[in-house]
Amino acid sequence: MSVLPEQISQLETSVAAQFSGAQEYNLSEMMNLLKFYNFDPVEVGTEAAKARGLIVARIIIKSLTVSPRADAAAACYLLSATLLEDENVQAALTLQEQFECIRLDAFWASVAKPAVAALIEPVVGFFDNIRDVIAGVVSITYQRLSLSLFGTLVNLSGAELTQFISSKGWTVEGDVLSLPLVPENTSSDGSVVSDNIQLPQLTKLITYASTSN
Amino acid sequence: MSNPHYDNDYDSDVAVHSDSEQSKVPTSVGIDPSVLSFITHFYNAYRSNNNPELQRCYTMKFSALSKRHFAKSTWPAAEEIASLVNNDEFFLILYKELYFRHIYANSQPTLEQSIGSYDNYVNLFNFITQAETPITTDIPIQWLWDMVDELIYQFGKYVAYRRSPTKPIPAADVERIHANPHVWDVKIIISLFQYLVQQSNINEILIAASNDQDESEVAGEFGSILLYRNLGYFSLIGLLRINCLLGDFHYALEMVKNIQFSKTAFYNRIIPCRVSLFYHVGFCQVMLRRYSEAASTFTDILFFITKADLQHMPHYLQDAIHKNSAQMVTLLAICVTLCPPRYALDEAIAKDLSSFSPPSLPPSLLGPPFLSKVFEEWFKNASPRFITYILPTPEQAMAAMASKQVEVSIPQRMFMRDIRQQLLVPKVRSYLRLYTSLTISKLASFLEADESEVRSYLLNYKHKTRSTQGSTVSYSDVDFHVIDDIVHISEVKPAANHSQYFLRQISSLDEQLLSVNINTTTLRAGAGAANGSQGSSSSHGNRH
Repeated sequence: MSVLPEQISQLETSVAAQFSGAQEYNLSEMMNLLKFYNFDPVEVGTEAAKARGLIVARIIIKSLTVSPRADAAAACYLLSATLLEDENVQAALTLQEQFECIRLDAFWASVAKPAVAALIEPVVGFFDNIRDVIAGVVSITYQRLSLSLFGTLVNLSGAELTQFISSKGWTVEGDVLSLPLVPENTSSDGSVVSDNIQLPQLTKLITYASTSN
Repeated sequence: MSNPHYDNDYDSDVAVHSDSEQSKVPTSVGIDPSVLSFITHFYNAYRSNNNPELQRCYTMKFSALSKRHFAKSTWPAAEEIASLVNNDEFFLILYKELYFRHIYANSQPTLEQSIGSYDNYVNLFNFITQAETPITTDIPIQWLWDMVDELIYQFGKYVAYRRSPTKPIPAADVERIHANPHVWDVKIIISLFQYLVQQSNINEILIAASNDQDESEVAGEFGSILLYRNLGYFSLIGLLRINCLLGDFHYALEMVKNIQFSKTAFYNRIIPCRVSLFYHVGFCQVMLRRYSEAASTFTDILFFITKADLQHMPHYLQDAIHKNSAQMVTLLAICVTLCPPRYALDEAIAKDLSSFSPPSLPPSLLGPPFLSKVFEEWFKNASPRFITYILPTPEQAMAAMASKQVEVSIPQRMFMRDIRQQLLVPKVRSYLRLYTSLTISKLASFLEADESEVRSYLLNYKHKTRSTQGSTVSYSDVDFHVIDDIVHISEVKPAANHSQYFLRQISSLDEQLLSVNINTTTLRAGAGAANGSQGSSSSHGNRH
């Protein structure tokens, strides 16, 4: 009935494979590991606790890559009070908050710190994924914005920026980036949602009204 | 699964039963004849597998006799009536379920009673799942639901007792807690439900049903028996609830993903089950930021509750449902504040919501500090009582009690953190709503922030109001897009809901006619007509 250490180490291996990209992203598996940590806590300050802190921090970082799905939030509900005190977990939570609020200047400043960079490093492809998420939210918000602004949002410049934009198939004229028109960035006025009553729904009522007179 | 410590200690405190047990008083002595005949009758209904009669015994006769004879005492212990029922093991387990439930309903259970009830639930589930051939007793579904519900309720009570005792725990009980570390262990309770889910093949049955396939092909030996199928179904909802209480909202929703939400679904047959299912599903959706889905979950069930006929239900159930629906209105307020829906809410629900005023407050008051307080208050009132994975020892719990420290649950802390990340959304929305287009610099001056911050807010707004279900459609009522430095805004105004207007007029006319004593037969036909035109949404659907 108790959680077996083998179960935990097995899950840890497979979550590590998610980080390295050897396995598909799987939220349930990461959440299971967090749950097992809750059922089987280790003593604060030990090597085992630190190792867990690192894995949990990376789970939060990994789950950011599927934003705007709330996977990171779902994972956070399973943190324990002691894990919340762990410095790596706290660093990951700060990153998550900056990213979720789209305070991207702060986010890029954070990831430049060596400690945070070391946290992210095993999460292979994190930056590519995160830039895709940013490009996604920009493309539903803007129809047109300056190239330099976009560059700071995705933290790219020069050839890298040009390459990123062309990989999206977007067009640049001078310093202006035009984004393809989609329903989300072409909101127009006057769309009114109303109910729709069909005549057949009213036949009984009308029959009743005409017979009871 | 009997508990040696519990057996040894049993007679130390509970005077009433242990006396009769120890002195081996012949059964049925001192028991009122009407109670004896009820038990015999109950047993016969059980023996002959007479579902309607079991239902009557369970819902009416048992509570009537409880009121008459056992308002201040417990029902006879199972040992005292065993000879009346042929020592039937399963019947005695079922009887004990009622016996302990009556104690919980009428008084504060002692620790032994709590342990006894736990042991009995474990026995009950094990008896059912470990039978070699399926048990064919057709236990009324209401009872089965109540078992699942009561098990979780008693579990919650035990957790509360262990985590925040209201008075010092006596030394004998401290010892008993240490001697019974697995009592009400959340892992055991989860496994009880999980085992039933697997054994009954309920997920396979539900998948087959939603694909219009023959269920009997997948049901298997146990799943084709009503007892297993029904209890398996309720176990899914039990798992939803336990996982929700543990903060695993993702997995909680996974538990019920095969349940189709429809008018003909099985959960409709038991009103408290339906309410519980919707409350927990909606709550999980709120926690996972799926506000627009949560809003429709809540409006659906709240609409049902306002129209449902609860009069025939016991008062404690009616109270529970009303309390639960107040919580859901509060959760709905959270949803519509963060993500106003694009459709008009039902008028009765909108009226309940109007007491939660922040959405209509002037923008200047919608600042984060104020809203944060409001949300915290709402959340405290509307959330279930979360449980922790590991219970504190009695010594730790009493130390915490002495120091009066209030521990904020992790889900609440994380929810408030998540809320703080989007507190600017309502404020930004309230300014955007005033314009069809405005420059970012102007918006910045309203929000008292610099332009780059405002650009962040706008991205944040889009990011947070997007549904998390893979769809990229914004469900918010105010939408916008930015071209260079200008924000272009569109607002979706929900139109008046005509069908509800008509229904209300029809029903008010109906009532006026009634009040002037017009032939009621004709009237019923009229109400039926209105009912037919709108399905379940007629206010007269429940009048007979």
